[in-house]
Amino acid sequence: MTTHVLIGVGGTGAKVVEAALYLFLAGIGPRKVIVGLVDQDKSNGNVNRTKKLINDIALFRQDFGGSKENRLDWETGGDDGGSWLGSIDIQPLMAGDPHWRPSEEGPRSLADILGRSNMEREPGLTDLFDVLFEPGPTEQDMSLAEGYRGRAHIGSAAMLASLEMGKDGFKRRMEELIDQGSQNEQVRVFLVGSVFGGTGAAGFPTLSRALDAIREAKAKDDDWLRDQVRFGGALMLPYFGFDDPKDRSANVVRNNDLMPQARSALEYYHHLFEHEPVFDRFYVAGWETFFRLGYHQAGATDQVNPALPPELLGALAAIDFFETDLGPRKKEVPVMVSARGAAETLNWTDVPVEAATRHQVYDRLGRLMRLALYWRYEVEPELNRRKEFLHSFQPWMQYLAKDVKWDLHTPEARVRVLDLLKDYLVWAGAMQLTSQTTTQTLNFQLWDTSSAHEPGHEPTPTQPLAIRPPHRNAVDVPSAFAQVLPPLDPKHPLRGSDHVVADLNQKAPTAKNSGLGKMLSAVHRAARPIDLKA
Amino acid sequence: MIRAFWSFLIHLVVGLLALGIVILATGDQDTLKSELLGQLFNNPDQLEARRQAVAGAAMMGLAMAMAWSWLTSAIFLLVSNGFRPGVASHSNRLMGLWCGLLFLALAGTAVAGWWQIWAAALDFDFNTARLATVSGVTFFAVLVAYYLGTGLPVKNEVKASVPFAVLLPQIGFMA
Repeated sequence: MTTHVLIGVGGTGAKVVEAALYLFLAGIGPRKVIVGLVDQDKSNGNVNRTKKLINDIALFRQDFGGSKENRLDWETGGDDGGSWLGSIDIQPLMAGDPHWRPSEEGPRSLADILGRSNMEREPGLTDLFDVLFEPGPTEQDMSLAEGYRGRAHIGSAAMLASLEMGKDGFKRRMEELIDQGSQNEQVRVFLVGSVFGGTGAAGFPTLSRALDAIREAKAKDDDWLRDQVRFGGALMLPYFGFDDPKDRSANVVRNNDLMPQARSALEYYHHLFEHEPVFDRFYVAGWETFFRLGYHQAGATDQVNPALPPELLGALAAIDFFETDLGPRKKEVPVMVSARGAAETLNWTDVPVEAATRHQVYDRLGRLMRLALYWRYEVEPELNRRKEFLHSFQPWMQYLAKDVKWDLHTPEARVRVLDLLKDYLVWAGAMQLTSQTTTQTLNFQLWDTSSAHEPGHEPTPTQPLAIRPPHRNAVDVPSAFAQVLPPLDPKHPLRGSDHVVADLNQKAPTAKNSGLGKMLSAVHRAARPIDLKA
Repeated sequence: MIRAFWSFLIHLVVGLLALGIVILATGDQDTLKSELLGQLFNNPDQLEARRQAVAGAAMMGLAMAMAWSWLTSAIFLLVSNGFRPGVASHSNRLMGLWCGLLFLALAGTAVAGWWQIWAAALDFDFNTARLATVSGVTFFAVLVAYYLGTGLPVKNEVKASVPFAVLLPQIGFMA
């Protein structure tokens, strides 16, 4: 038994966690993952979007795991009539909330957190504080309500102080989790954050060292705990850029600061790992040509960025860390690197995982995408027409929808499935569109969801697309199927939507799926892009 | 084509059942009109020959109707086998074809009956009530054979094109 913990630090960390959540939803990863988000900026749009997704997946699992009316069989494998869809249990780090905000009461400043007014009691303490942090609104009195605004040293100090002095449960919770290592369970904690910006750059090293300190303290009594509690980390190098703010005096990080900041951070980690091998595996992801987002956001609810490909790489790093046999701990920190085959394209062979895992990721992410299309634009409209004459006399409706209790729990479950699949299409579509529009050269070849994009939508930087409503004929499903996913291997052409029809109309083993779960599981299985056994 | 073979077997079984009824319905001299029975009262050999002619025509008409019905069902199965609906809601897209071929099967039955009975002027000999029975049995047999001959062997993806065929037992090994 292994406890898996994934923690995203800052807005970029939250976006990587978001990508990981979609992988988990597709059934890629361990059976259970505890997910946490660390961000000072409570209203950060990226963090809130990820929190919403965690909540939506929890509700989905409640709809199809808790009730007998609609159940997905997560115990039986997806190839044997069970379902991988939503099979991974995602638990928030703290009771009911995945989000930890280091300084809860806000808006506060570093001076508030460290108690500058009390420093005068100790001679020289105020002077030391003034030497380390610039007095005034630029640093000491800067409001932390919208995060650390690219000032990692402020964030680091504020976060460390909150960890040590905070009465909230983050440190206690992490100690609890690390303690499980002494109960013959392996604990794997994966941190992800950016090297640029504020919260990530501040929180990633601070938290990793704090967690390592907890492990080391406990390992004094139990030496073998070091092999039981393992830490992995993914550091996101600068891969996107905002426009600089029009107000030149604005107290935010600028594009020109990103690369020097990243260089300093990497040098820091290089030296850190020489003395403190904090991580058992360390992943670094970046992008050669920045994605130019073409607008500026300081923080708060404005900071809602479209998904970008490096976040998928970060998420896959987490899966790799969770699934790989790490062996005994080493003194050197293994650093994982990857590269694309060609700078101008991104295709499935560039996904930095082993061949078998690549097949799995391709199959399950692709299957979820095809499920989203088929469910929203074929199954749902048909379910709405189920009372029409002759309509229910279709084999698939008879086999799969016969025992659905349409009035009990099912309406809510149907709405949530629709929304969850829409969010997935938005996430995938945003990654595709933003790749195409914010770089001059990148040819995005992982997927193409454009058939489901609303043509009348006026794109904005934060909402580059909208998804068509789930109506009959809103999307030509056979064409969408042909377009959404490129073949992984040209020798094995993809299954078309006609294969889905053929599969749905056969009586197949339904394991312990029931109610709407029987239909959902069957469509999910039938939507597989390739027959892996073939 | 195995589906057409299944349809042939179904037509054969239904046809044999219908044939039994037709044989029963044309097995005695009441098959002939009472006027004819009165005219040939003293000539039993001729009566039997006329009865056999009527019975033979009825059976031949049934056989032709069943063969025609099988042909139309085979056409439906052939077309449906090559049709791959892109989405589940297109499963009933061949219902128009099915109805058209059913109409053709029934029209062919009518033509076969006309050719065997009316064109051969046997309707003057055939007892009207028995003629109605034999005609009814033939049409009913064609209807049943066509329905079962298409609804049972048709592949599941297009089963919705045959009305209510989903209620029929599935011939799973052919699917």
